[in-house]
Amino acid sequence: MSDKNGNSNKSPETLQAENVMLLNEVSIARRASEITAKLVVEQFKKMEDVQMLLEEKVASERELHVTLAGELRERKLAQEEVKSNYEIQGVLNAMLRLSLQDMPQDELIEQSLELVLSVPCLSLQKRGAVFTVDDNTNVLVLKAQKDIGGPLLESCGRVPFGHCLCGRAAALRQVQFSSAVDANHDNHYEGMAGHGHYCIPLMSADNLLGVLCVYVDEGHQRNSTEETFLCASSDILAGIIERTSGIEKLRDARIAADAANRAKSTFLANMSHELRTPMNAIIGYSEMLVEEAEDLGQHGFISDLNKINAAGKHLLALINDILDFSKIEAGKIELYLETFEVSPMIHDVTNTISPLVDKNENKLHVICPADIGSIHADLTKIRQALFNLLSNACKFTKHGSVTLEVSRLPGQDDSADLIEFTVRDTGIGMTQEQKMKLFQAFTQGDASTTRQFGGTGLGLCISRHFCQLMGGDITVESEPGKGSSFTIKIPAEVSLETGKELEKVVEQEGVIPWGKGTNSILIIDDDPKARDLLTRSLTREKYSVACASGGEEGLKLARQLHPDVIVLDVLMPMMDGWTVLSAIKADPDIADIPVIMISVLDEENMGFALGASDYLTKPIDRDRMLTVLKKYMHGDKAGSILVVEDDVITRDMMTRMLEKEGWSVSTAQNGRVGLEQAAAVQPALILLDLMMPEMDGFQFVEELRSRADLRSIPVVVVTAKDLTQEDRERLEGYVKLIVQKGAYNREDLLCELHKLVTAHTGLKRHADTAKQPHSAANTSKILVIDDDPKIHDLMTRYLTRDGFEVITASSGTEGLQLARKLRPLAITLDVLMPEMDGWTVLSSLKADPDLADIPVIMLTVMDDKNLGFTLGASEYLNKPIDRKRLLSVLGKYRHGAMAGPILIVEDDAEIRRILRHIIEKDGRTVEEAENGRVALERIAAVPPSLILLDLMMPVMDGFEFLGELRKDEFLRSIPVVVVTAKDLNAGERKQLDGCVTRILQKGSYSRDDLLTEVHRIIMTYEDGGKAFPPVSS
Amino acid sequence: MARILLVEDNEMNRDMLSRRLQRKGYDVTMAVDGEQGVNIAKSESPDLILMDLSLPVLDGWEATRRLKAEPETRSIPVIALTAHAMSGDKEKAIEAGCDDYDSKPIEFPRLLGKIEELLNRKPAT
Repeated sequence: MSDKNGNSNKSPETLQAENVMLLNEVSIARRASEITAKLVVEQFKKMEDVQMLLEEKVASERELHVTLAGELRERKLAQEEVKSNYEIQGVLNAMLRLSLQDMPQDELIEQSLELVLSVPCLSLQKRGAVFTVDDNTNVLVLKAQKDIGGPLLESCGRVPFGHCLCGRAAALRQVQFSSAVDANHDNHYEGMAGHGHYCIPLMSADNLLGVLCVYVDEGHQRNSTEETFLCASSDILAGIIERTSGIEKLRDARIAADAANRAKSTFLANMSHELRTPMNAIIGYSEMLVEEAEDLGQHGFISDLNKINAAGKHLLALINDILDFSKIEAGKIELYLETFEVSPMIHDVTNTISPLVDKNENKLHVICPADIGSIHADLTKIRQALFNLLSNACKFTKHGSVTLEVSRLPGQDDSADLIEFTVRDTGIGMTQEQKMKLFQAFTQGDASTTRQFGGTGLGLCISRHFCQLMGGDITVESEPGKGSSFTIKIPAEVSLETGKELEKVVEQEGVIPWGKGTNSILIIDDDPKARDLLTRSLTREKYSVACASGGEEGLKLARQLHPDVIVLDVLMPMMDGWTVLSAIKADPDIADIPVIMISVLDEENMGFALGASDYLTKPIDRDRMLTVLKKYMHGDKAGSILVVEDDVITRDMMTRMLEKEGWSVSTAQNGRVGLEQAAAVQPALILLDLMMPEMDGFQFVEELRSRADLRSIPVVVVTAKDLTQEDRERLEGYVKLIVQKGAYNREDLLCELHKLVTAHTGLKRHADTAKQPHSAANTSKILVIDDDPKIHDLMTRYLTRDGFEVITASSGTEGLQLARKLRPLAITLDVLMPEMDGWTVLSSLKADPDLADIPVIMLTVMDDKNLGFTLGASEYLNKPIDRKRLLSVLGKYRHGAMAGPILIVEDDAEIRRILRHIIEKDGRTVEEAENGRVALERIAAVPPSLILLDLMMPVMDGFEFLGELRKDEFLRSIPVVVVTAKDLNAGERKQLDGCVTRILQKGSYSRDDLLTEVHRIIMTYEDGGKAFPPVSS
Repeated sequence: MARILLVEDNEMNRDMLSRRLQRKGYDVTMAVDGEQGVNIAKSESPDLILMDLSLPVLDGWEATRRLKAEPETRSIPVIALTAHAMSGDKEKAIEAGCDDYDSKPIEFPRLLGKIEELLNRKPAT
C-alpha cells in the first residue's frame, strides 16, 4: 500500500527486511558481475593469448618463407654456378682439344680466342685480342682479335711492354683490370665507347709468351669466376703458343739446315775435279821422282818420296770418300744397272785385295758356288762395298783369316732372289758400343782406331748407303776378340721400285740398246716372273725391251721412251690395266702406241685376254678416231667399217662421223649381231664397244679370233675413259674368264705375242715405207692363172675389193707371157691345168730371174662347191738351190721379228748339210727333220720361224705335211718355203697331182676361207715385199 | 822409237806423263787442247794417241770421233784418259771410237801395259 506521495505504508521492520534483501541482491549482483568481469577478463586474456600465438605462427611462417626463398635463390645460384662451371669447363675442354690439333699457330690462336669469348654465362663482351711476344724486342704483337674496331687494329698492332693495359700486363706479368677508359688506357681514340678490360699475361714456367685481352662493359665488377676462367684459358693458350712456336722454329731450322747442307754438298760434288787434280800431281810426281832417283842411284831419297806418295794416295782416298758421302747427302747418287756374272766380279775383287791380305799376313778364303749366276745391279758400287768390307777385315785382323762367302737366297712368295755376300774375319772384333756407331759417318770404333788402322771413317757409311739404294742392306755381327762378320744383301734384280731416292737409273742391258732401228717394247706387268719371261723371249727375238712393274711407272717410261708397242697386263693390283690403258689413250703424246693387253694367270696357264688392235676412249675424239682408222685402213676407203655398239646415240654419232669421212658403215647393236654381220660382209675394220648386253666386247673378240676368216680384221676397242669400280670389276671378271677359257701354254702365248707385235711393228713399218716411191714393179696387180673362167670371175670380184687389180690368164703359157710383161705383185696359180700344169709353170717362173721373186700362191678348184687350197707355201725354191736366192728369200722373212730357228725338212742328208751350212753362216739357228712326221714333232717342241720344205719325201711327203700344218691355227702362219725339183719327170708330176687331189679331198675349204687365205698371203707379202727390193734389181 | 801424242790440258799431268814416257824410251809430242790434238795427229801421224777426255776448245770424245773418221788418222790407236771412272763414261769413250780406256789417277805400269799392247797390235811403221 502506498499513499499519494508514493510513500509506502510499510513498517520499518519490513523496510529493513527489504533493505537487507536488496543489499543481498546487490551483493549477489555485484559478485555476479565480478565473476562475469573476471570471466570476461579471462576471455580477453585467452583471446590475447590466441592472438599472440597467431602472430607467432604468422611470424614463423614468414620466416620459413624467407628461408625457403633464400634456399631457392641459393639453389638457383648454385645451379647457375654449375651451369656456368659447366660452360666454362666445356670451353676449357674445347680449348684443350684444340691445343692438340695440328694446325698453323695463327689458326689455333684465333679459334682459341673465339672459344674464350664464347662462354655465355660470363658477362664479358664478345671482343678481345691475343698478343704474342716478339722475342727480340719487348713488344707485343697482335696475333688474333675479335671486333676490336678498326682504329685499334692499327695502334694495337705492336704494343711495347708497359704501354697500355696489355703492355702493363706483359711488363708486370700480372692480371690487369679496368672498368673504364681510364688513365691506363694509353691506346684509345676519340669516340671510343666506354669499356673495360681484363688483360691476362700468358705464362709458361717463367716465360712470358703473350697477353690475352678481353673486353668488359663500362662499370663492370671484377669477378673471381671470370678471372679464374680467364687464367685457366690463358694457361691453355700459353701452351698452344709454346708448342706451335716450337714446331715452327724447328721447321724453319730444319729447312735452313737442309738448304745449307744441300748447298754444301752440291758445292763439294762439283768440286770433284778441282780436288782430284792437284792430288794426282802429288801422287804422280812423287812416283816419277822415285823412278828418277832409282835411275840416278840416289836411293836415299826414295823412302821419303814414298812417304809423300803414300800420304797423297791416302788423301785422295779421303777426298773420294768425302765426295761420295756428300753426293749421297745431296741426293746425287746415280745407279748404273747392268746384268753381270757374279763369279768373275768376285774373282776380280779378290785379286785386287790380295796385297792387302798379305800385308797383315792374313789368309783369304773364298766360297762362291759355281752356279751363283748373274745379278742385275750397279757393278761399280757392289765392288766398292765388297772392297770396303774386305779391306776392313784385312786391316783389323793380323795373322788370321778372312772369308768371303757368296750365296743366292731364293725369294719368298713373289719377291726376287737375294744375293748375299758375307765377309768374316778373325780379327779384333767390336764392342756393342762400337757396333752401334759403326755405320755413322766419321766414327771408326774410336779415334785411336783411326790412327792405328787408317781409313777414312766413311767407307761403311757409303757402302751401306749404296746397298740401300739398290734395295739391299749391310748387317753386322761381332764380338770383341772374336772377330766380325759383315753381310751384304742385294736383290738379284735391282730395279726402280726396289731402290729408294733414285735420281736417275740408267738401264744398261748390254743386249739390245734402245733406239732407232730396233723394235722396242715396253712391258707393264706387276709380276716380276712374267716380266722376266716376256723380256727374255722378246729379247731373243731381237726386240729391245723395257719394263715397268706398275701403271704409274709404266706411264712414266712410256712418255720417256716412246716404245713401238706396249704390252700391258690387265690384272694388276694398284693401278689396273684399264686405268693405265685409259691414261695412255688420253695422253696425245703416247696415244698412238699400240697396246697389247695380256694377262698371265700363272706360269702354267698364261692367258691371252684381248687381241684388240687398238683402243679409243669415250667420249670419242674425232681426230683421234680418224688417226686410228687411217692406221689400220691404210688410207683407202674401199672397205666398210662395222660399228658394234649398244648405245643408239653413240652408234648414230659414230656412223655419222664415219660416213662424213667417206666410209661405208654397217652397225650392230650387240656382239652376237656383230659377229653375224662381220661374217656376212667382211668389214675392213671393227669399232667395238666393250660393255654391251648379250655378248660383250670380250666375248666378241674371243669369238672373232677363233674364226679363221675373221680373225685378221683389225678391231678397235672403244672403252669409257672413266670406268666405275663396278665396270672394272666386270671387266676383270671377264678377263679372268676369258683367260681361263682360252688358256694357252707359254709357247703359244709368246707365239701369239710375236704375231701381234710383228703385226703392229710391221704396220708401223708399212706406214713408214708407204712413203717410199713405188718400185718399178707394178705393185697392185695380181695375176690369176687358171683355166676355169669362173675362177677368174671369183678372184676378180674378191681381190678388187681390196684395191688390187686382177689380170687373168687361161693357160700356163699365157700366164708366163703376162707375168713377164706386167711383173705383178703376186700370182695365183692353178695346179691342175690341162696343157701346162701348175708345176711346170711354177718351175718356169722360178727359173726366170725376173719373175723368181714374185710370190706364187698355188691353188686349185675341184668343183664349184669345193674349192681347194692345196698348198699354203709362201715361197718356192728350185733345186739345185742357189745360195744367193735362198738367202734373199730368207731375208724376206727376217723383218720385224721371229729370228727363231729355221726348220729344214728334207730327206736327203747331204742337202740338209748344205742348207744348214748356208743358213748358220747367215747367223740363224737350224733344226732338221728328215720327213714330215719328224718335222711335225720338231715343230711341236720348238716352233720355228720358217720352214724349208722338200716336197718329195718318204713316210710323209711335203703335201701331207703342209696339210697337217695348215690345220693348226698357229702353225699355219709359219712361213713355208717349198723346195721343188726344177725338172719334174712325168712320174713325179703325176705323183704330185695325185697328192694334190688327195689333199684336196681331205681338206676342202669353203670359198670364203680360200679367198681369205689368198688375201692374207698377199697382204703378208705386200708388207714383206715392200720392205726389201727384189734381188734382181 | 815409237811416237806418242799426248793430248792433255793440265800442265802438271802433261809434264809428269811426258817425262815418264820419255824415260821409257817413247818420243812424246804434246797438244793442249782437242783441236790442236787433231791437227798434230794429222800432220805428224803418231803411233799412238793418249787422249784426255775433258779438254778445252774440242773435247776428247769429239776429237777422237774426228780422228777416227779421217782415213789418214783412223788407224792410230787412241787410249782415252779420264778422271771420271763411271761405266757410262767408258761406253761413251768406246762409242766415240777409242781403242782403250784408262782412268786417272794414272797407274803408270798399267797404262804402259795398255800402250804396249796397242802398239804391238799394229805393224810397226
